Amino acid sequence: MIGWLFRRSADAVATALVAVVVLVLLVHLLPGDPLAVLIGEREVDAAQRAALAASWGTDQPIWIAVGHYLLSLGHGDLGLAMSENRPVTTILLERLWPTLLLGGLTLVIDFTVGLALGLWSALHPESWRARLIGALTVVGYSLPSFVLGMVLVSVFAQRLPWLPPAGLADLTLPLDAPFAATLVDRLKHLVLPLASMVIATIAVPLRQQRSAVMGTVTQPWVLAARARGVSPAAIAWRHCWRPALTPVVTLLGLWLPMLVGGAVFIEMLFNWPGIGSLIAQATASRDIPLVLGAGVLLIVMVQVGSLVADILYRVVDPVQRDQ
Amino acid sequence: MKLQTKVGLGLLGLLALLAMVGPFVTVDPDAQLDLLHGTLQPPSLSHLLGTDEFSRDVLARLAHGAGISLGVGLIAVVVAALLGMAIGLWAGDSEGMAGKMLRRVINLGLAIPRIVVLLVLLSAIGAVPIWLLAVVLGMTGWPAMARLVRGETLRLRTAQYVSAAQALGATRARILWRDILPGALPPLLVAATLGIADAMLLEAGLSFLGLGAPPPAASWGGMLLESRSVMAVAPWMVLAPGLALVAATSAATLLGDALRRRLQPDVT
Repeated sequence: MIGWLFRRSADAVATALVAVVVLVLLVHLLPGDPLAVLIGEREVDAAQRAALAASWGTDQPIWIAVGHYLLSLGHGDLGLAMSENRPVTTILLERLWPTLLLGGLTLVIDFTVGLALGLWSALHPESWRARLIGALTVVGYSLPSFVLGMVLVSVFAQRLPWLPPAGLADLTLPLDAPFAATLVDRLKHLVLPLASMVIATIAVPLRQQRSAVMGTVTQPWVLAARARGVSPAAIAWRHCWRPALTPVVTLLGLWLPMLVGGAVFIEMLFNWPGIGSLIAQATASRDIPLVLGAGVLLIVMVQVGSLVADILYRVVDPVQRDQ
Repeated sequence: MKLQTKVGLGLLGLLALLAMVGPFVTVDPDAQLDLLHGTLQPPSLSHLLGTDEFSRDVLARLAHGAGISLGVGLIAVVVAALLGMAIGLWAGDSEGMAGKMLRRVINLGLAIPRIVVLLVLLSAIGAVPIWLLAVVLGMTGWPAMARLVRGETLRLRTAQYVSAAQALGATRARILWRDILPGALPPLLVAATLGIADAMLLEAGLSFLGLGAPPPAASWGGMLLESRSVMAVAPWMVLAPGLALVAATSAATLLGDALRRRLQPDVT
């Protein structure tokens, strides 16, 4: 197990490094002036431009630029953002927690409520409630989160002024406001983006869990358990659900990066200051160091997600563990 | 035929009708301004889905957008499936170093989030023609397909009928083409049908960020972007393209499920 974990981690690190190199090459090979975001509308003569290029390293050949980037990445330094003149790492850290808050809560709800509903509808496949859940999941699966978000904003923020339409917090709220008031304000801002994310994504784990459990309910060991007089709850819990957990674990690994990637549109719609909106804004303003930094963060999250999934996979599946 | 399949086919038929007949019935949305009655008219008999802020007929734009959305979805998936099929077959059939390298290439493709590549590429290209957007969507969608085909190829390579073909002296190319590819095709077809929904959603999302086809192209995502500033007074401008998008992606999902039941009865 330790040897496997070591090999698997080394593989993840290697893949992430090559992915970072590909990303840096991709961004550097793009057409357009990399200094445009710095210069803007100002008049700049050739000497000043050359000085700028030298200080930002954009005059170097591509392989040197890639090498420099990897070296500073080794020191945990992602350079300065062009549009804000602050370290990219500082900006990423600022933007990380709103994304983790929104994505993490979505993850928790998807994988508790979603799995429970999937299990339940697999155990009662003919009931009208299960059919309703099935129909709703097809719609939910196809529903783009940002379209749902727009409808929710138009109903619950514009028609009925119950909830704020965008942002992370009410900026007019005084800093020394009581804790309860701050909390309520934060929660109010969270409701609409969270609802849009959950409704648009919960169908995937639900469908996966339902079809996996459907595969186990017909197994002979379930029939044997029923014949032994095991209670229906224990059958559902121990004999149907346990073996149907592995495909869900695989999904969990894909989920972590998907929540960040899929959150791009939701974060843009709700002005949510997270990683998704950061990368969209940074590409729009061609802030290359910031685009690269956010890209590196996402690449790392992909690898961490699949590593965690592989470890969990071994935990839930005894056959895998013993090999 | 199951009810779900009928609903999927029905939705697809409606959208295809809208895409093919719509533009002829409703005239060019840019020429058909109705400024006499002001802008942002609610739905009425003369404008079944209302008009937008330039007083263009929303139904006419929706019909033009149907062609764009369905076309982008189809082209993107065909490009992704062909690339994925070629790389997946090659990776699954190669022994030793080449096979390992190709497996790494596929993993690398999966390691870089698709949305990052799309954002970088599209913002660099600038104003993107709609066919190029479709091709770029396809070029970023191949790794998942390649992984699927590689797995199937590895599985089928040890099948008895493949050994039999080898024993009869069939060439490697012939075995790949005649014996392995047909076996790997059903799961690829299912994944491609489901992938149409993903491609359409991505197209709409990217257009919503202003990275899709530039105006006045009537892509559904672009219509959603334009409706954002007026959605408090003109909800029909959100609902029309939003519901059309849901109908199109639901159709792809339902038909993908139907294909899976038909082609892979053992996998549910």
